[in-house]
Amino acid sequence: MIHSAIAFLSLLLATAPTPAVVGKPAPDFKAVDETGKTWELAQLKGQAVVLEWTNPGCPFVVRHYSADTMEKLAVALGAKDVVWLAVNSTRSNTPDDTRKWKSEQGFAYPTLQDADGAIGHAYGARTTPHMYVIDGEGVLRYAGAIDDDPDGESATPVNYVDNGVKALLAGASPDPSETKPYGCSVKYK
Amino acid sequence: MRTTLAGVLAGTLVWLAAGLAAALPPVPDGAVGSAATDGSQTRVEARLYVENETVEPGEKFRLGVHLLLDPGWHVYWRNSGQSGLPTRLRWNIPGAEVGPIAWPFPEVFREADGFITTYGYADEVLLISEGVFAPGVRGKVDIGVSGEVEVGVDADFLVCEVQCIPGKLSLRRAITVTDEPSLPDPETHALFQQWAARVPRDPGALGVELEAVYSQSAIRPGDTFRAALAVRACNTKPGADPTACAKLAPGTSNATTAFVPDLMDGIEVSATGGRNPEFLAGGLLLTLSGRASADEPKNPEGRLRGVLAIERERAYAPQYVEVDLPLPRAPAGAEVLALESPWLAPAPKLANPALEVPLWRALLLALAGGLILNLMPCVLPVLAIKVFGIAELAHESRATVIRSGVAYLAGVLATMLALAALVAGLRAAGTSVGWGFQFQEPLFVAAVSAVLVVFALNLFGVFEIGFDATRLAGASAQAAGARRSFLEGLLAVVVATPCSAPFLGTAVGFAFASPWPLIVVIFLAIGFGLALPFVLVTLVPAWARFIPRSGAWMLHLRALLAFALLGTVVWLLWIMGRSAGAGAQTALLAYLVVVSAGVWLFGALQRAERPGVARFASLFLPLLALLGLGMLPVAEARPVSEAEGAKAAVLGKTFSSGEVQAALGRGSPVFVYFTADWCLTCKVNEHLVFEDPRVAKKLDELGFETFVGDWTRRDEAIRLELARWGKAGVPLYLVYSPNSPDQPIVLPEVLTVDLFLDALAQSAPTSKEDPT
Repeated sequence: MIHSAIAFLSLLLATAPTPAVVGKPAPDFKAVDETGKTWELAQLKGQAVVLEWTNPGCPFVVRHYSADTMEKLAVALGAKDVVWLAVNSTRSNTPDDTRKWKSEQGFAYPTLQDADGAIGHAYGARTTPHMYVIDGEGVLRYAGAIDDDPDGESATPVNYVDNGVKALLAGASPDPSETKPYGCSVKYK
Repeated sequence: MRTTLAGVLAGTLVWLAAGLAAALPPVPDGAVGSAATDGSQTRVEARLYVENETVEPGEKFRLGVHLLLDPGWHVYWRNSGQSGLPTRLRWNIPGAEVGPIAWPFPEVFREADGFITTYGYADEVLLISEGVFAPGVRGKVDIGVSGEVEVGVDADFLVCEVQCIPGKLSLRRAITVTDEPSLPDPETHALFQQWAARVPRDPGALGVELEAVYSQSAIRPGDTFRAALAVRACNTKPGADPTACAKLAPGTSNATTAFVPDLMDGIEVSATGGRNPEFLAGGLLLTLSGRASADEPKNPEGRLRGVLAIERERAYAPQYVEVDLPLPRAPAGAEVLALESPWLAPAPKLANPALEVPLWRALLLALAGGLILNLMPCVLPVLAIKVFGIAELAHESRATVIRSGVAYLAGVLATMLALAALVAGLRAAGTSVGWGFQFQEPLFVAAVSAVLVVFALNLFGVFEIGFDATRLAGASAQAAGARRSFLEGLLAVVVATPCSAPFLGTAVGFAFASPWPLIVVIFLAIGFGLALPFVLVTLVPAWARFIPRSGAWMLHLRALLAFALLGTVVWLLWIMGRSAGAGAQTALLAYLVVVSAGVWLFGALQRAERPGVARFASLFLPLLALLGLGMLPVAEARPVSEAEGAKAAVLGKTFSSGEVQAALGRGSPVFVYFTADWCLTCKVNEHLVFEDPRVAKKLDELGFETFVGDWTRRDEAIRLELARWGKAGVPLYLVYSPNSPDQPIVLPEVLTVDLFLDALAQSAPTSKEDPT
């Protein structure tokens, strides 16, 4: 009976997360993607994770998808056992919308359905795109922009996520570890 | 007749339209364009202006791009804030150099309940730059006899309403370089003057002094800090009275939008409030909070940069000031001093008031809070059982009595320890929770309901606690008594947490803001306080005299207490219905019926004197119950819709810090309260105080705006707001006066009508001067 009571206590695990801070454990989340599959950060321990805030209605996201910035990087990093998860916190987004966008764009990674904005608020995601890199220990190591080219006019943009993940895999720290994200604001409910 | 009327109307309309178009000075054809296509229309119209169409070489002249936006849309300032993109202009004038944009003071936009803050312009803006032709320009650039040069500009901007649309356009027109310039067109000149007046200037030029202090001697990467920005406008001429200072007010609707920060090297700052402290003699003190990014700064010499809007008393027009002050930086890991200054003094509430309580006081508060918890409504049913247990033991040996007291204490402390470990563990895993957080979890509510039902059935005599009812003698009976006391301790803690008590709020707030060993220590102190009265009773044998010998009355009392427990279950079912819907509520009821059946079966086995089977069942049934609990369809359930949701006693708007600030900015006093359905202390206060007609009348009379934060389900924004005031749980009552928008009165957890009315009266706005 005592045991079951203590078991009750440990049932209360899912709770409100602290805002994400680089260098601190990344807020855990449990969310379904557009196929209904559940993703839990805690279960991805041992692998680096990239979170990409997305919204197909945002011109900045559209620009990066027409240039294949995200798709190519996700494939390249995927080969190194890095998990890429898109997150859509747009209030009006539905799994159907995501499936349609996915088939149009032809990318393979899942998009977490966060229309209630819970993960977005936990991570403090402000823009689309807004990128986060989490190491194999579950610690947030990078937060900010995808690259140093908000206007999409640079011939040789510096991709912060690519550099950051490569630094992590080489046992170093991403530098910079925080940048100012750019893009549309996340359309929270 | 009719046609004539229509003709007049049409004529009037044409005339009106012409009048509207004439509101802006005209520009030649190539100098007007539109961009940001949204469906069939464009959201931005842009015009290129030159203040004077004829310019002299070597003399500065003003150029401007006027952006006219559709209602509801905005473009961005040089620091766009947490999203967006700065507007950019690229000038191309052969032979001329053009300076940077002179940005007018921006507006602050808050989206998603204040979660995203951006800076920019709505409706319209004129972005002015200064250009100059080199004195010998005619020899170097191919300028015709007429002296005409083409002025070209590429504008690049992001315009957002809900959607964002990037816009890009090129505008051009001619300007004449001549040695005999004519006067500018007065309308165009007026347009330039109108917008130039909104461009922040050097403080010296406005007779304003600025000074900043920070909460630490230097800011390291990753630090969060507080700052205060003092603004004074005094007569500094030699011989003048140095105390003759202007009384300053924020130049925008409220202090939180009066300072707009620039993009600084890894530092984010925002204004949290403002006041006119006595030591500034009329000067304005803005409080800021800031955060440094995890990266080392590129430049070790930091600067605090931004723009400020102030208004001198009776000036009726704001002044705009550039802020550029030192901001000391230090590398990661450097030793820095925490600084206290009277300037920062009122702000500690914003940082972490909980940590300002010394440990010994927090411990004392925890102990007292735990003690008082015994009198709060949550714990009463469990206490009733405890009282009954004691009565039952009255005529047992001292050793048995003391053992039961110790077991109760152990049960309370062990549960507190488990709770502390859980809170600390969750936090280490990156998740923060508050006091009573378990009641935000429908599964927990279900579990507690089941435990209470099982207890009630035990009191009804359906089964006995203990594996083996056949050996109810000697040591075994004592062991069963002790085990029972332990469980009562556990239950007391579990049901106590949705209640808050005086002193407890501060102690728990302290614990949640402290490192884990302190969480454990404070929780144990609360537990000790909670268990203390019963431990004391067991230590003093004299009380036994007052308890009659056991008899039939005990069975009746047991049954009575069982009904009290079932009453508590009704309350839990109500919470379940409110937080997870009627479906979940029904599922829980069904589950409770099944659990009861299992308990009855167990009791039957005990009575049938089948110790083996009973022992097996005692392990197997709880497991089955747990399994059933896991299958309850409550976790995914949606809360009831707002329409059928909270009916608070004092109806208020849903809490959002932005709206509270806005209300204060309008000059209204504000009452904010945080509550939860499972918080009995909250509900009692709401019933006894907020429903009192005197309270409603007073709130109305004094023009209070009321906001409610409902924490029944998890809500990060509310948790953070609670933490801001040093609390880790509900209730929290804040009474704001518009005179001191960053220093509300924090009321105690247990309210009385008089105390509440007093606080309201104190916070009513004092004699506001009519600005006209």
